[in-house]
Amino acid sequence: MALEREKSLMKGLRQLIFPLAAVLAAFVAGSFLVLAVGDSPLATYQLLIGSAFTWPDGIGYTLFYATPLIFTGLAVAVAFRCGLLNIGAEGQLYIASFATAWVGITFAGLPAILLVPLCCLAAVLAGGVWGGIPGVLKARFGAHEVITTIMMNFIAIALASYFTQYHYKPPGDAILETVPIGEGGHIARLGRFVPGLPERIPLNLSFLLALATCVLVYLFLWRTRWGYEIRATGASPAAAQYGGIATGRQIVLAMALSGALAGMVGINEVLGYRYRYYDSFSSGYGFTGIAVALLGRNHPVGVILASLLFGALLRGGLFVDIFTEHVSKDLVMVLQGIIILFVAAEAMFRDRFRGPFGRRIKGV
Amino acid sequence: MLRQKVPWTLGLCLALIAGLAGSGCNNLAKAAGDPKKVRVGIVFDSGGKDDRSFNAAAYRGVKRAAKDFPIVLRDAEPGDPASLEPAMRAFAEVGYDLIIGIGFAQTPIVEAVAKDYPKQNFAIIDGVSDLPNVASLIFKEHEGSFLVGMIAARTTKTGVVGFVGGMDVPLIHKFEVGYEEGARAANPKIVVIQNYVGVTEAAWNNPGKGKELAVAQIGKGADVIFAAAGNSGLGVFDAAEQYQKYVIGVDSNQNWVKPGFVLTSMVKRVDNAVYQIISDLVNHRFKGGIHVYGLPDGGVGIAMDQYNEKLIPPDVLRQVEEAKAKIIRGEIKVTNAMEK
Amino acid sequence: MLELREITKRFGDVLANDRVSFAVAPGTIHALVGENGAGKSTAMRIAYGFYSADSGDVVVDGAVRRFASPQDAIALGIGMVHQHFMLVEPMTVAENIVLGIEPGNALQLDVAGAVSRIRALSAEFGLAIDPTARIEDLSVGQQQRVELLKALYRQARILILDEPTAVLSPQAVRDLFAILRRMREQGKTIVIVTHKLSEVLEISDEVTVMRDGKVVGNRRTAETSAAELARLMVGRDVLLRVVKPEGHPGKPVLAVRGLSSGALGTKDRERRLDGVSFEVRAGEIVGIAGIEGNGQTELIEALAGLAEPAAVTGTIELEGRDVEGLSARARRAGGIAHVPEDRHRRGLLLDFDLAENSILGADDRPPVAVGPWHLWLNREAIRRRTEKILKAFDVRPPDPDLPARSLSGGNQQKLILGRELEESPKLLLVAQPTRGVDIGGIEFIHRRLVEMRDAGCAVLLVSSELEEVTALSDRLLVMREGRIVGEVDPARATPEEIGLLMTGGNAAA
Repeated sequence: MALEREKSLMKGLRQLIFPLAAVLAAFVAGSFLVLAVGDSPLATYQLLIGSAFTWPDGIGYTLFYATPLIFTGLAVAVAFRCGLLNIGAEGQLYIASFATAWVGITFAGLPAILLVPLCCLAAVLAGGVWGGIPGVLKARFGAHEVITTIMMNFIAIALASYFTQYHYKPPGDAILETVPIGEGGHIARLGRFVPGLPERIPLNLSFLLALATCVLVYLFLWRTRWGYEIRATGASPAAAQYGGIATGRQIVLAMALSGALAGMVGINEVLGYRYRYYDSFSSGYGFTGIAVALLGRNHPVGVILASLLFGALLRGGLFVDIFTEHVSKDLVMVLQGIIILFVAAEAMFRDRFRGPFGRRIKGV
Repeated sequence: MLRQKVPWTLGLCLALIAGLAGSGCNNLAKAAGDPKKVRVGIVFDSGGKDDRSFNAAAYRGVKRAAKDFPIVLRDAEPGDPASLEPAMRAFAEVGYDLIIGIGFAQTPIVEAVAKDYPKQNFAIIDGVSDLPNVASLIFKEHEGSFLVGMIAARTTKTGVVGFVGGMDVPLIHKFEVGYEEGARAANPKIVVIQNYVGVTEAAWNNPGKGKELAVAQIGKGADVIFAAAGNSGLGVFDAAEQYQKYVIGVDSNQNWVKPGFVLTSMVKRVDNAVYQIISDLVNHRFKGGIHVYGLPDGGVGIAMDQYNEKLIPPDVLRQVEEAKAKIIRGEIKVTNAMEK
Repeated sequence: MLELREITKRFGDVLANDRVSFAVAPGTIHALVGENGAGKSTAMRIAYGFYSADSGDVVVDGAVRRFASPQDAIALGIGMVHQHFMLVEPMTVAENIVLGIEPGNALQLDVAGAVSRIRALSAEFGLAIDPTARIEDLSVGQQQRVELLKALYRQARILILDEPTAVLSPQAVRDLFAILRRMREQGKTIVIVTHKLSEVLEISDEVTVMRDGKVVGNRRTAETSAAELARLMVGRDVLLRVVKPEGHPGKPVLAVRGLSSGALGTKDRERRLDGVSFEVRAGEIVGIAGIEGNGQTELIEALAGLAEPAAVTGTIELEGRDVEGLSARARRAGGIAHVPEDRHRRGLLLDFDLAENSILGADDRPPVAVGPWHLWLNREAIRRRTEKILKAFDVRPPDPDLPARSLSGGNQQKLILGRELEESPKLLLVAQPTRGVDIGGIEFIHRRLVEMRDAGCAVLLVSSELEEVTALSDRLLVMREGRIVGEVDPARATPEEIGLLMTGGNAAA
């Protein structure tokens, strides 16, 4: 039994090697870039990594930035497990955030015990519906989800902007944002519970919610029948049909679930951070979620790790951008890009080094 | 074989990261600039410092200050509005002495951050805050716009002048109303067409749309267009050159951008205001509260130089100078669209 | 000509080749046989320079050679046709053949020259391939001939064919063998890797048998028999004939009447059903013979509930209850089990482990699914179920955590059969049950099918192996162009008679 556990631990660690190597390689490649623009790689990386790990601000912000990425990473991963590429997390999180704010504004008078769950429900439902629509289009009409989710992104972002501008903006406000939600809709910042963590750092309870969601997604995918059927559909639609699985229904379910997960970004954004809907608040969380899922191998644990990495890069990128002479935050984009390239190339490597008995060969 | 390899590789990676993180954490404040000097951070709005207009003016000011005083100067160009606050907080976090937010959109952000860091100084351009550690630098744009409105009305041959605003917000209404009143003062029958590029931050950064609006206005007969639209204004400049019409620049002196087609620029000396506030800080005279810049102190005005001296006849200039004097004396009241 | 001397190759813990030695005489067809995983492919890949041996020598024309890559082997005149073709589908035959050794200079591709050379080669060996045709328009058999041409174009004298018949229909196999004989006449040396004994006996001059990474025998084909080769391969006596007691058919389980299905988006006129009617009774095996592509696939899928519902008309009754219009899941619940013809695409989730594969089709009900809405998977029950199947059906290795992909074809098929029989079906649909399965596996699967019959299950068996379908069936239906064209008594009918029905009188086709 102990041996068994050690085996599975080793297996997990082995899964880490390649992504870590990819990250390392990206940093090496990035250092040439830094040299080329005329800064010191060492100083740049000190800023990049150091700023992400100072206490309390560095760690607080890294975790805060990681929170939405966990949600979108899970969203992309769940869809991917069903063989679907959800490019629409961005639109789903926008529409869900707006819906969250709308509930928070419309029922502003409710006490926290009602308003918080109601707002969370709004986030999940709005995201779920927005994700479910491309699912239905795919299952019923075969419309490719990549196209439809991209289109739904445009619609979501424009719709939320429109309602914000013309119906929910405080009069005379120069910034495109809604009026604040009711006090009852605020969820606590972690600073309230963690000594030494000031409350100005917007890291809030939704980070814990994100971690809990990872556990739930894991249980759903690997311990329930629905998760099994979603994964079977993704692994081989023909085999799933053969097994009596209604693949169309799985596609709709997976997309709705994916949208709901992306929509949970709204909980962090609206209930935990700004307490209102702020137009174009997402710095591409939905798209970064694709990279997170890819790097995290579409597994909840991997998604957490990848989100932490990308959260740290977001935080560090800001510091590199501001406090170096020449390096801009595009460095972070380049690093992300290289990491993803390496990870994408891994599949190729793996096949190349696979022996004639496939994965039966243990030592390779 | 594998058993040894995994921890080894992992250990190497982790050690490397820990090393960088450790050294970075310890020296973060130092890595962000020499703490013995006065450190100034500036956060541009989404137009970026190369908009040749508003942000560019601010950038000129801080550059001049950096040359004249022994300060550390760092700037942030967040690009999208959601990244403004993190940038400002980064400056505050590493202990910068003065942090300047460019543009009214940053007002709530400056307020929030200044509240969290009461020992550091902040400045906001075009916005008003009553926190003691925030200097609010505001301008009487309506008065300057009045003057360029007069020039526009005296120059037009068609009797139609245009106005292209960036984001549809009260601050830009200030320009628009002043411009219209000035034009009407010079020619009561003047027709003023106005358009705005948009309602979001992106409106500052859309030259294509700016050009489109200018071309439409030209189609309706406008032959002088005042562009108060940040980066989007550059599209109006393009249209003016293409259709051989006049454009009026804004914020910075933009007369040189398309020589011969830029009638004048309604300059808003953001550079002076920024320079002044840095100088105050360096000389321990920094004061929070409202700092107003208007016609008398040259905070706003019209730009005359070698590029446009032939475009404006002396009698027009004389009339403008008279109006300016009257405004300063209070004999002409220009409506401030933000005070209604 | 080509000789392996004491070749040893190890992949991790697996000893794939253990001092393998054999020689191939020039101008002969040499068969290398063995069960899946016996090390045949590894040995040939070493001969082709794809792997390098841990120890031992490859000898060509009497001299020891070191191959750094297949290029070196090609330069010595060794060509290899892999089981999975390496062709670029949208490109033409000629373009594929010259890929990597493009004639002409850097700027100009001399296609015309290549085309005429290929045409000449094709005529010389009777390959009948048009060099200007696109790969995607060619049949599998034709694509294989393009691979042969590729090797010939590179002036191969020794051709290695890895399981060349695995993907071919019986007709195409006949054509291929004709081509191979012609090549032998032209002086080429051919090594054919296979596990099908009938083919070995038909085509080869000499046989080398491998088992567990070792060479266990060399025989002149004329001096050996299928039984001897099978014993060498498996390591024990193997029953090549199906032992089948007299059947006792009971009540009809399946009744199909007037079953038709549309063309399902394909232009191919043959790929549909046209008024098919028949019955299968409890305790009998009804076989369906026919050339592949005459509606057998469509029939099985229509019965299993996998066809587009709108495209199917007619009635399907299971124990008198109309199941036409029911979903695949409902039909499974009603007692239909299905061993599909394409186990990689339909039958298995290749990247899932054996445990997860063992619940495919049974995941929606207890004991696998428990709790409210049968939402939770009962891991204990799944594990028990998997271990039971792996044990009862002798799936090797019996590790529930392995991905299905890592099993050999025979073990994959045993897993599927075990899973389907676990549900105690009333009707078992079986298509091509032994395709790509080694001899030991074939024997096992045949025995299980007969056992199922004797336990009262109705079995509908589709197979393109005439031998198999006649040996197993109690009644034999012949399909052609989507219709049942006749029923014969498999115990009495000769292959010629059945072949006549299959081809519609054009026995030559």
